[in-house]
Amino acid sequence: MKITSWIALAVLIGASLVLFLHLATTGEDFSRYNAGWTGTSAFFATLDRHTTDDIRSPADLGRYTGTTLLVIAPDHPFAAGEGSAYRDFIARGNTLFLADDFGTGPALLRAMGSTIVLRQENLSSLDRAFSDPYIVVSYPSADAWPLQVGSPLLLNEAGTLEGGEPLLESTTFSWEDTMPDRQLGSNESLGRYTVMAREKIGNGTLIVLSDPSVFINGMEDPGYGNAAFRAEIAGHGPVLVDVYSSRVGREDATGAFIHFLRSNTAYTLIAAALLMAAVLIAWQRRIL
Amino acid sequence: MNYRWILLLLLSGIAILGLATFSSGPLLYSPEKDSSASAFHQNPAVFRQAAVTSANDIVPLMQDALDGQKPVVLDIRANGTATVERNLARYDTYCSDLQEKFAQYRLKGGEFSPFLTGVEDQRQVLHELVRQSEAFSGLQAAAARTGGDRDATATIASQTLAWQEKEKILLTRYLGNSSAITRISSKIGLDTRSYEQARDGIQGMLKDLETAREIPPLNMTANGSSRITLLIEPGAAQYGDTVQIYGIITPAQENQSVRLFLDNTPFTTVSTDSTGNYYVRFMVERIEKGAHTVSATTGSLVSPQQALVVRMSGTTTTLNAEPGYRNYTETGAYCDGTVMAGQPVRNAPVTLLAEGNPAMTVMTAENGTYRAFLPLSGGSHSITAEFSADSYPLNPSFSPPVSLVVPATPIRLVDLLIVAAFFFLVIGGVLFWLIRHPPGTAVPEPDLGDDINGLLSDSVPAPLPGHGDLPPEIGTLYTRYQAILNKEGLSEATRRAYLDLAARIALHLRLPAYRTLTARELSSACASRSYSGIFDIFVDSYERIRYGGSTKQQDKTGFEQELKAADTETGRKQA
Repeated sequence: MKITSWIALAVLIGASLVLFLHLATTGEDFSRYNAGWTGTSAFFATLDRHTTDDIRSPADLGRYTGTTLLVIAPDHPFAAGEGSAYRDFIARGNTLFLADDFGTGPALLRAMGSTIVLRQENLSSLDRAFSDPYIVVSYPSADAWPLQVGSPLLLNEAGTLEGGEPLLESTTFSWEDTMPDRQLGSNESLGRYTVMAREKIGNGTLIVLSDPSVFINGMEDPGYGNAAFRAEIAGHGPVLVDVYSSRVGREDATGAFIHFLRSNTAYTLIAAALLMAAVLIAWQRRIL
Repeated sequence: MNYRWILLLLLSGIAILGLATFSSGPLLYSPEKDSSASAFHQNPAVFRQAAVTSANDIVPLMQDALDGQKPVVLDIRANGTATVERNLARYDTYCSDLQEKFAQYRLKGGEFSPFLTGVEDQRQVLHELVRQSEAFSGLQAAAARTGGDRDATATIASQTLAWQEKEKILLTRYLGNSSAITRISSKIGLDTRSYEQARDGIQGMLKDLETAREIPPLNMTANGSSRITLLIEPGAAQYGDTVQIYGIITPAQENQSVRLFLDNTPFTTVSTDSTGNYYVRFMVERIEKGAHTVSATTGSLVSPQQALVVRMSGTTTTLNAEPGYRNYTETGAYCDGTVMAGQPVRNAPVTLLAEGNPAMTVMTAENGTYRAFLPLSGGSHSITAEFSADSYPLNPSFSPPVSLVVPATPIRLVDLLIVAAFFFLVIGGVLFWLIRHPPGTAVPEPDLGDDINGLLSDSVPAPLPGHGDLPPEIGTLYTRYQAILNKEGLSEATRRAYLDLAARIALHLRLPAYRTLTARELSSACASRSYSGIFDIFVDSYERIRYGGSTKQQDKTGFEQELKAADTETGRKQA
């Protein structure tokens, strides 16, 4: 192959790499760096950065009052001491909003001594959006933040709750799909299931939603009241984002590298300069 | 445009696109097209086109399945009314709709399964009760008609007792389902008031039966002899009426086969129940008008004959006809219509007449309708439908004549289009060939494969001194170039030098039609050869002089150096 072809190929590969770096996104579910449908980038983009802070350790919670802590899809095993930190945080007058279905939310609730129990069974319903019984329509049973009166919320593979004060429930035509076949089985029973509940702890409030998927990009505005629900939470500043236990701060290795490159202006400029220099040299030497 | 500009533009575009870091989200991404799966959630975007399901689709049907029972039960309690069949048919529709929806949504378990099973069983019970009610009403009418006949009295008493027992079982079966249905309905928020009234009606019927005075069975066989009785109701009927036949065998014998005869011709067989009763019903259809006899036999026992008078009924025949074609070529008329005798006349022959002459015969369907294509020649026709079946208790009838005009030839637009397409293809093909091979100018490309050495004959010269490994003609291009340069100038000399070199390369590449290639194309064609780089540079110099019009000494000297180098390199032995 002629040298001109090699150089042209190198330039093309370089340009493709840059394009890939731009287009690539982490594949981590619930990650705020994931711009695909499984990520939460759209929701976190709506948070006010002036009133939003990351929590990287339960010890950081000690300095806040009057805030709302978002714990979305936790998968960190909680120790008893960590549970106490979260409980004390609520008791000081903060709000903890826990959204979880099949993660370590039950462990966090137990560690905090909450009366709310998260049952990790797939909530299914005949009152569904689209053709999937796991995409369930639920309705407020109380007038409480962050719900809009009379506005339903669409859930996506949610669990169910027991205990606490029910705020949001499925309709009677719902069941826990204990045999996960998306059908109402002979040992499964219809009934209303609580999907959001709250509990007063000290001067603060614990709110539990049995579905973190309401925050993913794919559920940004599927109809129903989801967009308003997300806006209500995003606008309830000051907001703390728990990245210690939650999946929202998670990236895979490739995603972390790409995020590092893209978030550093100097590296972006260097890459651009190198590429343009290569093109100009090739042009000058009449090999393009 | 020079291809280098295009390449530069393309690469710059890709680079700029890649560096477009100002966009917050990834480009070219569409959730609707993202088929990746997740263990945590479904992608709602891929469901957007799917039908939305909801309890709103199911609940009204379940409510209908509950509410639809009440009018049927009230009709049964009133010993059958004119509306019972209609109400029962409507209830059947409710239940089948519900079953269909449950199947569609795959609702097989939970509370839905016992609800549907219970409702379906109750529907069957209601059907049985309606049939019982009709049979019992017929029996009472037969009793009134036969007066004090001992056989009739014994038959009526025995049948009544048997039916009462059967009815108790049915009513109990109905009530066995009702508690579960009520519980499930209440749980999912259905209104059970109407259903509970139906249930109360069934409970009342059961209570009436349990408190009714027991009818003592009448002993017909005081002398110990065996007998078979026969009652029919009604004694006179017309097309479509249901005739019920009742009887009893004594001494009672279960599952005894009883053959029934109409005018001494067997037409059906029925079995006895545990108390020796038998019962069957049939519809008057293909039976000639007039008096008939009905009798029953079992073993050697023969019942007394009963008279059945079949009366004639009037019929109405209708006809619709439209001219049309069949199989693209056959002309005729599409005919349809009905034959009714108060109700549909089914499986009966209808004759279609064209201009009063029988043309074809068709049979009616279960709903009394018929449909046929009647072949007709082109022109005006008058068509009539005639129902005239001698073996039916029905009067003949003619439809009003239908006049129509059948087109003579079935020329259709599609046929015209096919013909047009055929001519278009043929003419287009000819034109295409003529354009590619114009008459008088179609000079075939000379086959240079065999004669290509001749092309080089002009440049066959003496061997190049000091290059014994080269053929003798190598090293002479420059001499030829110099000669032409002095005689015809630089531009023509470079052209002839290029053609000499191109002929030699064409020989290596076996390219007889090399003159159709540009210098650049020939350069690309020899990319795999060792001299491709030198020839590429030679072409650059050649184009600057020949097409760029350069007369610079620098370009001329460069061209001559590259000509010599190319001459030598292309002269080496090629693989």
